[in-house]
Amino acid sequence: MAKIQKTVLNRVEGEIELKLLWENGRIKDAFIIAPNFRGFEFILEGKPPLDALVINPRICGICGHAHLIATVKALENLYENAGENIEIPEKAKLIRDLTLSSEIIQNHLRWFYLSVLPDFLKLDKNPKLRKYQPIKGSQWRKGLDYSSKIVKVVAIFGGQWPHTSYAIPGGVTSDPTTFEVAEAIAIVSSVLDFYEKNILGMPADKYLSVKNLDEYLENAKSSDLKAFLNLCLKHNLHKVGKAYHRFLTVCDISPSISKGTTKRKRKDFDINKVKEVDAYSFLTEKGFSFDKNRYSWAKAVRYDGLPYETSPLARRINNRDELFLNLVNDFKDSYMVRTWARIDEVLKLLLSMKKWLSQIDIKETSYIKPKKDVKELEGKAFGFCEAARGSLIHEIQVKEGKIKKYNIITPSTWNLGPRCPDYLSPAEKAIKGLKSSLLAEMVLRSFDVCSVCTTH
Amino acid sequence: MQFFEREHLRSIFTKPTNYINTNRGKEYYDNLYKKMEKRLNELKAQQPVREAEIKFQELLETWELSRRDFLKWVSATTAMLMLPPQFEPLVAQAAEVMNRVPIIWINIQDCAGNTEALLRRASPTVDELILEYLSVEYQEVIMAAAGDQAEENLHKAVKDFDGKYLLFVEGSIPVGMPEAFTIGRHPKTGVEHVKHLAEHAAAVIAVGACACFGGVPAAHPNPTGAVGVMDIVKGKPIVNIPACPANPANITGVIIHYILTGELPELDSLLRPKFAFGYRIHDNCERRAHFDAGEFVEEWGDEGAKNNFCLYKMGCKGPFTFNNCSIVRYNEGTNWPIGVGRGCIGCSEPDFWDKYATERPLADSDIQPPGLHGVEAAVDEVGLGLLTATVIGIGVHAVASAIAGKKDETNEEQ
Ligand code: SF4
Ligand code: SF4
Repeated sequence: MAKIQKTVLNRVEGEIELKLLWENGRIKDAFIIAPNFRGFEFILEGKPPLDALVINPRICGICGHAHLIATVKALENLYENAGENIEIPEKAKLIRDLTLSSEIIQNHLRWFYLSVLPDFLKLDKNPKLRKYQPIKGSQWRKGLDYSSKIVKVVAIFGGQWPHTSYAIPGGVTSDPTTFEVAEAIAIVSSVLDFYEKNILGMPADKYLSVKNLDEYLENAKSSDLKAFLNLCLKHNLHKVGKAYHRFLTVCDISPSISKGTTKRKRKDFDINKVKEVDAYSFLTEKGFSFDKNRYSWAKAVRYDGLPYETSPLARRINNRDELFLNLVNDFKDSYMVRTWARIDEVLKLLLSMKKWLSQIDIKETSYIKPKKDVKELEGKAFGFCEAARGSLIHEIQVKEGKIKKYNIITPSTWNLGPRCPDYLSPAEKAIKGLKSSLLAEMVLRSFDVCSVCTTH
Repeated sequence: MQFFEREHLRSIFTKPTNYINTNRGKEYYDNLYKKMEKRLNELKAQQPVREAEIKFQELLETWELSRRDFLKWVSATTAMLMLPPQFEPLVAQAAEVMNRVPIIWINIQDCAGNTEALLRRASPTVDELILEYLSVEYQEVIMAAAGDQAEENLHKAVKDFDGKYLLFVEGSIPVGMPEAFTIGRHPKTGVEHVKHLAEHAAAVIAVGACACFGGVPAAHPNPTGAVGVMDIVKGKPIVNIPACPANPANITGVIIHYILTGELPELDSLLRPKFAFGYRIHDNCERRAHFDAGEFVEEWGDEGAKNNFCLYKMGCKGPFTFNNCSIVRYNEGTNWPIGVGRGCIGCSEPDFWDKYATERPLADSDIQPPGLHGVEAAVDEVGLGLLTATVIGIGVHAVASAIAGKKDETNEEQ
């Protein structure tokens, strides 16, 4: 019998560690370890509900704004569940979508240039790739530069990035001027221009009609996406990194993101089917446990008993995008397709942002006061939000004006959590069977690792 | 103490909180100038940390920044450090020898927010100044190395620059529950990690509310027993750069100051650099005139909100918070929370998650008046943690009129 070897890769990205079991030069099993825990859910307990609006964005320095939106939606849902109709002005909705989209775009750009492309320098010795070298590479810098640019849109409407707290039940506190809206339009246009020239290698409208990989490669001028796809084909990354081929999206961002779950067929998302399993987590129903078989601060989360991937790829599939339905048909949910979906999403959101900015009516109010004080409400409620890495769920329970229980399920809990007794997490499954630790790292990164989100 | 007396309120809101004496006389500045010149010459004589010297001028060009952009940044930084304009050439030179100081940056119980804020800074982008020109030997978010290679790089940096590097720490440290942060092939707890690296550093710089005072993780009930760096590191110079996230300008400011003088900047009793935390948000707030006039937002979305009135009654903690974001702002000066009508949550003050952070007006919050300690002591200790419900009720107009006297006083000072 072949000998089983164990290796540990620490700090694969941020704090995430990877424990790998090898047999005959292949990865026989993979454990994703999230070793950093802060305990937000405990800290929220007993605090007034509105405190969650300032505390929760601090769950993550990269997608904190998504946590703000999930929180505010949970509070608004609390009103609805109590039979209090809550009205949100169109302007506030547009502003929330705009800022959320900026945060998602900054994340994807940063991730593509700071995490994904530098990996290829280790895989491929072609000197042309030097432009992707961290800090020194010209494209690396540009990527960082434009990801800094787009977050200024969050700052314009939300005050700062990271960590904004300007959304409140009933709307937003900001009242932008025409000048500020124009500033945001200028930023979005410049990022779009960068995106078309540097990433797509073709105009946006042409790209939108692309139906498959070959068609794209034939028509694109040299660009970073084209270079990336060619590298994937060269190193067989269109064949590895497959997870469960099951996709979950909890929330709409019209028109390019629609909620739903896809197993073989697409169905509606039903929150009652979501369950957390703590069999391998240090954090348990009863408190903490450091038993030998537990290995992560994250819990596993299952939908209808099964692991699902939640990500930009899941959003493309649940949105029935033709290109991605074809890609998944041809290459499954592989490394290449998962990564491409993130890059694709940048375009969809930039185009939406342009439209939303033109729809803002600055004369409209930004806030409609709810009829009741949130302190008078009791009960349980959910806030759903699509964040950069996938679907985010906040659950709040309020009693006597205080938070009784708060539960957070992040995209990374779905993708990078530990196993449950029956299934590995999607990323663990995707890593199993690979032949090198570099590939294991790369596949893990295709899920866009965020350790702090995984555990919170 | 007669808390509600007009004179008393006046003293609270007119107290000069700017502890840096901005004019210390010609002799002082002449000496300082000489000292800095000497230090810069010493640094220039040294080798850059990395083997190949990158020329600063070339760097400006590759980043497509003009000399003018750079000089603009130099003036802003000089002013931020509260140095008179004649120090600008020295600050420019300091930027040019930044690559003589090695930096190690570690993340413990963090959210990476400070790193992200730093990466999102420009003019001229600290991406080039800090990341490229400054010698960052180890930084988990931007480095390409992972696994054992990352660990080796760190060991090597500690050995090569023993006693010379600046250690930046982001995130709090869980002393109550070591399992909440234990990482590495040779598992080390957060406490061991920080203590070890601090021991070999020239100085330790805590970045963000978490590393300084424990931040969110330390909020009640503090499930992991999180603390800040200064609670576990002893016998080393420490600087706290709080706020959530810490303003990148203040991080650069501390580094430039260190390069200019070889010393850490002047600190307050919470170890915060006075150049950044020597005054209150409220002192330089764009809505201050409305505060003075007694014009307040009474409710989100009301006429006051549309007219950018003061947010005090909506829970703004600006009068109790020491920080310079009213001047520096965030995202390259794009905006700040008060700019979008949200109010300040006091994120540069200790325990602000339990005390200040909410939109509860002070009337409903737990903030205690300083009572017997007297206002002055409190100003420096907890960032002026005072004012009760009644004060707001009775005091607003009294305060407003008291404030009117402030401008004259400031003029006198200048
Ligand atoms: S201080 Fe704020 S930005 Fe920093 S690590 Fe803590 S929560 Fe994140
Ligand atoms: S908004 Fe806040 S900081 Fe500004 S003047 Fe009013 S109370 Fe002071």
